[in-house]
Amino acid sequence: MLATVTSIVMFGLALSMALCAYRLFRGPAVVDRLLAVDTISTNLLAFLIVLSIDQRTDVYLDSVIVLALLAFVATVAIAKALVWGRIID
Amino acid sequence: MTSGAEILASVLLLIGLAFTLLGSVGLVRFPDFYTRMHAPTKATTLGVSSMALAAVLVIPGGIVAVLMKALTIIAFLFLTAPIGAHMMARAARSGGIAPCEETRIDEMPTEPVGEDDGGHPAG
Amino acid sequence: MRLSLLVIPILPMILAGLLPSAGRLGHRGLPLVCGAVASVTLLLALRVAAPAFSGHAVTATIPWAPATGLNLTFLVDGLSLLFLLLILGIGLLVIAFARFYLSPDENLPRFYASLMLFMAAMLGVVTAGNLLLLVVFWELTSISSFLLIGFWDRDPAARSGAYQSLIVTGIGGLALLAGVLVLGGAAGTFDIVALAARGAEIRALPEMPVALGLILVGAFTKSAQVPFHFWLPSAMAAPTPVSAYLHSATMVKAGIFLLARLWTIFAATELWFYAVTGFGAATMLVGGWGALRHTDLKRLLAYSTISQLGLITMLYGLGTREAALAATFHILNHASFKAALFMSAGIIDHEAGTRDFAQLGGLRRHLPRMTILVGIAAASMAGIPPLNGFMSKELFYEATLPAHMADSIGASLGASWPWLLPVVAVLGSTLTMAYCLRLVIGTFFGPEGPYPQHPHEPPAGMRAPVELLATFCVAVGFLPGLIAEPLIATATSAVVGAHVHPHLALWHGLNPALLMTLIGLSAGAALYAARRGSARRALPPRLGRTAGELYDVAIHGMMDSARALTSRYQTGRLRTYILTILGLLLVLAGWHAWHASWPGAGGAAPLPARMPMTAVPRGAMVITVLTIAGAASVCALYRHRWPSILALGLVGALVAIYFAWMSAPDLVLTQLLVESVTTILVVLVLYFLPRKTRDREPRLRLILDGAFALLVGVSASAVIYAILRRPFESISSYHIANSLEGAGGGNVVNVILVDFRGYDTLGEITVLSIAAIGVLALVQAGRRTT
Repeated sequence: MLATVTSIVMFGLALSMALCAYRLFRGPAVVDRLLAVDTISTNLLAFLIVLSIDQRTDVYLDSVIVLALLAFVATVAIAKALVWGRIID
Repeated sequence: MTSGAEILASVLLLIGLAFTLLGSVGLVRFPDFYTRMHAPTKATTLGVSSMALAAVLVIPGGIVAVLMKALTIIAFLFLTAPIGAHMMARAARSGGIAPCEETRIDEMPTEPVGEDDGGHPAG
Repeated sequence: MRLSLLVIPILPMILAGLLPSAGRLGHRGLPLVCGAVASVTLLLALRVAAPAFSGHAVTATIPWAPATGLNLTFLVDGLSLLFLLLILGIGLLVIAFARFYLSPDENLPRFYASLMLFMAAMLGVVTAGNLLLLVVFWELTSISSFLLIGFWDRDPAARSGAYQSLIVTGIGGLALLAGVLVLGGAAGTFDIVALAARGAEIRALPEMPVALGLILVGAFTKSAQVPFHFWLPSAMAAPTPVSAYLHSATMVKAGIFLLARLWTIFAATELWFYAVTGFGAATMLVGGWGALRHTDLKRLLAYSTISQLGLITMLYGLGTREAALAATFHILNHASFKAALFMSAGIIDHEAGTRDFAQLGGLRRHLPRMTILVGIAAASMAGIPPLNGFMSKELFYEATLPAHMADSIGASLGASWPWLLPVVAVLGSTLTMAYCLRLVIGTFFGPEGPYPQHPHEPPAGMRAPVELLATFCVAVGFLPGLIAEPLIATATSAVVGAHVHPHLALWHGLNPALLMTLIGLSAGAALYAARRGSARRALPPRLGRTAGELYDVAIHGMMDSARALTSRYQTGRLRTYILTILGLLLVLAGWHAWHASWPGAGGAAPLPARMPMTAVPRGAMVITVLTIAGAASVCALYRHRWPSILALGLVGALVAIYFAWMSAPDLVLTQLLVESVTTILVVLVLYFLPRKTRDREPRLRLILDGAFALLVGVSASAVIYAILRRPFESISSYHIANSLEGAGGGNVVNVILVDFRGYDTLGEITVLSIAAIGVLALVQAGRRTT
């Protein structure tokens, strides 16, 4: 039963990513697109977690930690660049 | 035969999926940027956390190792999501994105903070 | 087997490693520590090497890589003993001299560390019993010499002098390595003692001329023989203690040491005789002539060093026992008077503020003691009795006489042109006498030049090393049997491989050698007197280009042509780079596709039974693919920057799913890391780009770019498809099977990193080191500007 559920969840997550991608195309402002990318990263994170559940292994969780951190850093960097133009003072 | 842990994990996964999908739908449907920002944060925190908890339940191997990793993920997300949201809102505000007409409370001071020299927030 | 032999080179090396962090010892403590360690090493060396005094060599061996013939073999025989005493003895004097010469606000820890490193490397060269080990220490002396010459790194002359010395001796080191490899490969061993025992057999090898030629190139570059001599005058930009140590007494003697070591093997060949004698004689004359041309005191001494080295080389080239004896004795003497002269030059520079003859003169009134000391050293160099230089000059003359050449390879030369070598010898001595007179008279006698500083006698500590060396010259002159004979006897015995009992004395009776001495001295004086008027001016430049100019032309030509070539294809435009790289990949893929057999062609071949893929629902993959495609098109088609950057980052992150699908969790991690970091970097760089890109690109170019992109994409997909269609076997079974027996390790991952993929790891380490050095340089540059 878990296998079925994971399949459904993975499919759902892919769908969620596609919806966010719509916002990436459309979002009138750059921050909209930034938000979309950030959300897709989080969904990707969830996807990897579900994959590791499906495979009954914890190797992908390392990538998840890295992705969580770095996506945050990238988001903040781009946001700072939008406000100030420079991201390192 | 499915065990109790698997059932619980499945439930958690589905809950997480629900939140995530809701977040994405909100991202598509809300009227302006500031409202749109609210939706994915739920997906980030609640959605991923429940999925991480499901992982703790099901993945074999040292429960402490998996538990540590999952808790780390959850902790990072809870810490970083508000900061990210704040930075994005600031970027939007200083880029001159106006809230939609239904907005009633606007806590931002009138002049945007920080010079805008080099970025093009309006895409 | 005396393992304590290893202490000799290791002890100074350890000190060299510790010194850079010992700055708080101060300008008094540092030389004290160095001197103490050098003395301890000297005493230990004497104790360990005691048997060598009576002619028995002492060896120690630690196997290192026996399969390749490299073992840590150390050997101390009479020759090593002579050089050990030279290196350590003169090293102590140089340390004492440096204590007074260098000012306390120089970077003293770095200086002494480099000096001790050099000392250790030189000790390693003379005690190495394995040719490969000798080459390692040889290169180490080149590097430490580079550090020492470039010590005053703000001075461009010092920098270029250091580069020049490193490049020339480095090329020589490469030639030496090649020659040693040829020799060892043909003879089957690199062990010096073993090689020496098989001299006749080695001489008969067909590879012998090649090996010998390459080794000679190495020796000649290090010992500044013509045409490689030009680096030595440029190296005079180093501080005087360095010049006194490296470029008179020790490092330049390394090449000669090598000649002495290989004497028993090669001296009986014609190639050796003609090459070594010829180049040595030419160097002697070129150096002597050059010493008369320059007005700088240190340059004169540099050229005189070149000339004297040529003399010693020529003697080793003659191949007779008398010649070897003369050469070995002259090594000792030359070290003593040359070090004294260099240190005196340093003292004069320190006191009078200049080294130029135009501004010196008449110093004997202000520096009377120095006058005497320099007079003694210069007289020894010119070969005036009753000093040690006179004795070795006499032996030199005797060795060139046809009577003594009878049983050497050059006997035919001695028979047909009996006067050639003696005339060359006398010519060399004439030049020597002339420049010695120039040195002494130009500095100490005559009208007083305008001194930049008022000179007075140097402190006793600075003068003491010179006094010691001058006393040595005199003492050996009067009591050679007591002081020098035992050492020279055992050293020469080691060189020629048979017991030699020389009799060194001042008076050998009226013989042709004495006559040649008289002719040489008087001719030199006459030459000097004839050019007296131009003693303060340099000679007019010789016709043709000097080797130094050729070197400059070669180096600059190389850099210029490299720059021209690079600017052709490094245009600075991203489009060119991408077209070049991807175009090449396309060509390679296309060539392979032309020749390969397509697994899917001619009917659908089934997918291999076991594909390395994880089970991910098809629907999810399809949607992901579509998302990626959409993001990629956003990136390519949108005209503004930010959407493209964001979309690009997104594509990268989503590709991670592919890696997860292919069961490669490490690649997932890497991909996510790289993608995030690249995005941040792009945003960082965006700040420096102009705000607006060009509005419209020509439509033709857009179409061509699009077609090219399509082609690349299709080929990449085709390649991946072809790979996936092949039968899949993991290489891990091979690794696991061979890890323990083949590579000797139990942990397969470690073994892969270190052994199976060793070159890969080596490349990564190199890249990381380069990056680290670059970061260090940037940080230091930043610190200097703020």
